[in-house]
Amino acid sequence: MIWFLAVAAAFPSGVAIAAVMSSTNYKIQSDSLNFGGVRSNSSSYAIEDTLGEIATGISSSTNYIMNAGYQQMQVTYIAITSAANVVMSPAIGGVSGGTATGNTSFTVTTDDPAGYTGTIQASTSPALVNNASSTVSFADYLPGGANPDFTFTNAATASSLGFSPKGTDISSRYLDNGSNACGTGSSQTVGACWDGLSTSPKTFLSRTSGNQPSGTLTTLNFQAASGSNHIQLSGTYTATSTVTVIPL
Amino acid sequence: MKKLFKSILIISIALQPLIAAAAQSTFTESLMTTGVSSAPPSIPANLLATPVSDSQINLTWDASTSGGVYPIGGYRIFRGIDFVGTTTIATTSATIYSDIGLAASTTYSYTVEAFDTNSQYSGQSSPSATTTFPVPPAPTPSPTPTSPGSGGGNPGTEFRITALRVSPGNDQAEVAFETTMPAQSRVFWGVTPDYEAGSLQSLIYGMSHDLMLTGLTSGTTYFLRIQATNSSGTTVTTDSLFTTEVPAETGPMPNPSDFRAIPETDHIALTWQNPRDPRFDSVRIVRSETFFPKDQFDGVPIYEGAAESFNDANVTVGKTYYYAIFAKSNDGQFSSGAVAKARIAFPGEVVISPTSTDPFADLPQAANVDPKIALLTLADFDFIQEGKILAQVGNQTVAVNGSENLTIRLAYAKVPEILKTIAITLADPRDPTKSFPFLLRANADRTYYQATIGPLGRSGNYAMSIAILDFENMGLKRLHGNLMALAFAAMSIPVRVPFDIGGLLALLLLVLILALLLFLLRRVFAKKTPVMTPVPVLAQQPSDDIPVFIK
Repeated sequence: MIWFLAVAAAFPSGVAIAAVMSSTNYKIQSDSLNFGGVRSNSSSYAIEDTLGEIATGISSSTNYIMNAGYQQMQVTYIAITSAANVVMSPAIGGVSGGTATGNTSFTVTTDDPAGYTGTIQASTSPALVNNASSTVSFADYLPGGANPDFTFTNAATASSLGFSPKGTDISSRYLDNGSNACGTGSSQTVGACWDGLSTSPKTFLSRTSGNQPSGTLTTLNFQAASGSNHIQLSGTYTATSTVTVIPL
Repeated sequence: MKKLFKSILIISIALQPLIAAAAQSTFTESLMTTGVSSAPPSIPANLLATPVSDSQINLTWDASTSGGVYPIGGYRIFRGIDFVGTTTIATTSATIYSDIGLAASTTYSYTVEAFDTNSQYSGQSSPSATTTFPVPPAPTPSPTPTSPGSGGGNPGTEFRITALRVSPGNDQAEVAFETTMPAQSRVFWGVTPDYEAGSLQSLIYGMSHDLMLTGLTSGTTYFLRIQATNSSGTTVTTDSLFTTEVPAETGPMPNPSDFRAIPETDHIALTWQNPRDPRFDSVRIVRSETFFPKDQFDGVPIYEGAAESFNDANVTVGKTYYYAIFAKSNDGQFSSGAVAKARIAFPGEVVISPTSTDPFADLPQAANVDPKIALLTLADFDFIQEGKILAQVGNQTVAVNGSENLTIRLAYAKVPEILKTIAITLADPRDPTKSFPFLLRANADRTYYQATIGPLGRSGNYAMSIAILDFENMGLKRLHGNLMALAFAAMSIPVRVPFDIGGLLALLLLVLILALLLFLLRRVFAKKTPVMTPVPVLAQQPSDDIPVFIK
């Protein structure tokens, strides 16, 4: 404490005590104890520089990793709220066929000014498997082209599970033209743009700026269908999916 | 400046944990499908309701036939009173049912509905209605026969009950007897001499009587009163007792408990406790030099029999041996297996005492497991006692009855079909360094990996560690939880006493000696206290038990 006061007296205009501070409407992730540097802005750039730091950078050994210096402290924060399990309804008649729907939502928050991407990945292939028999399943939805299908389509002799994301941060692949195509336009037509799950990560979220502290809500809609000429063994079917968000 | 530099470094290191690489959320999507059968089961036909007493009506009906690929799962029985209302009163897999506890002189109507294993229902049958008998006169308190020789039969024949035979089952009892002349019969029964459980009456006059008591509790002694009334109204009474049978043990064979492998100088001593199960026949121990045997055929068999200890002398110093013990039932079933390992140290070798007897405790944690295994939580495991799945508190603790067998199972589909070992280790609540490990094995129809263990035996918190070894990915998944056991005093298996009898006798002897010494010392001080210094006593005769000071 004595040292902080001494430095503050010596550099009254350029020194602050390092801390994380917040109130109801702001949060400073990390500030700097320093004697120079400034955040500069124009219409086309933002730059933060520092002065007076020596021996900065990342160094490590088998026992430690050290980020020395203010700019090294620009750590990225990203968080995702827990998505609730989805129980699709109504029950589908194994002989008569039908459609069941459900959805879940989550909020992603990041302070990364470059934004983030998000993927969804199923634990099995196909994803929706009968609890009593792993060989009985719904197929993963397969769009007719490279982009998701504007309309969910299931053959009369098949069963499938698809998903459709909605929200501010969804990738352009899941945006539509408002009438009949996905991967083009900027609309998010309700009940449009259906894709299939996969055991490989499938990117469906993309944002190019930070969004803290409120974050951005995304809703994942799921739809399963069994065709009228398809026999689907009775029982409970379950898929397990993981959404992963990564700062850019 | 040097101080400033040091401070910046310190602050930077302190904030390092804020770095985040990614965030994840995992969830499930599920749905139900129904109705694959082409048709539901047929409606049960020929439902017949028959009164058998003032409180019981028996139902019979013809079996339904399956409408598709699913077999009949059972029947739901509906009841209305005086043709008003319908209530589901029971579900059964049989085509007969006894409705008991009814009101006397009351009309009941019934319908029955079949369902298949896919929960498709047939619709209700045509109703059948009947009325319970009126309440009969109370039984005569005196068991002595009355009014011999009247009311039928051969003239001069004493009217009495003979040839009483009671054939108890688990939950029912057949009561058969003869009367020396035609009579109506009635039986009363209960767990007290008040015969509070019920009564059954036959209004048909006959000399051979056969009544079936249902709804009894297994392993229970019942008081039975038999009453016969001839056509002239003479009543004779006989009392008896019977005890229903205890059902045979069912379910998987429990594992031997407390299996230990103790290295001695030139052999490894194996000890265990055989399961207290009436089906128990013997144990089989197999040994491996690579890892724990997965079943009773994996490894070299070293012992088969019904003893509870064995010395494995065919061992090499310095080599680790892995053992698995399996209990065998008299119909050839094997338990899932309990495991232990041991190694005889080289002479002079410094052996570090293990902190646990859990043979899986020293396996290195390796997170690289199959995704299905990685997703497992304790909630995926069922803990079953007496056919009921026990609730998990906070997904970590299960309250169990320490006096009953416990089955632990994991759905077969929840883990991949790769080479793996699923083992559970329970720690002794009194000494957590002692543990009881056992294996889960696939059952016959490959729906579950499961193990059954005998009663835990004593109350306490048994720390539980589940290890799933994924041999394909060389990974290990661990789960932890607790079994909170409450054991009742009326146990069917002996509880191990911490001291042997010799030790107890020695302890008692020590207490007696100490008490004697205390008594003698008190007598000495009682003598000394009034006088601060010893007083010479010359003329006093010393007695046997009072010490004297002679100067």
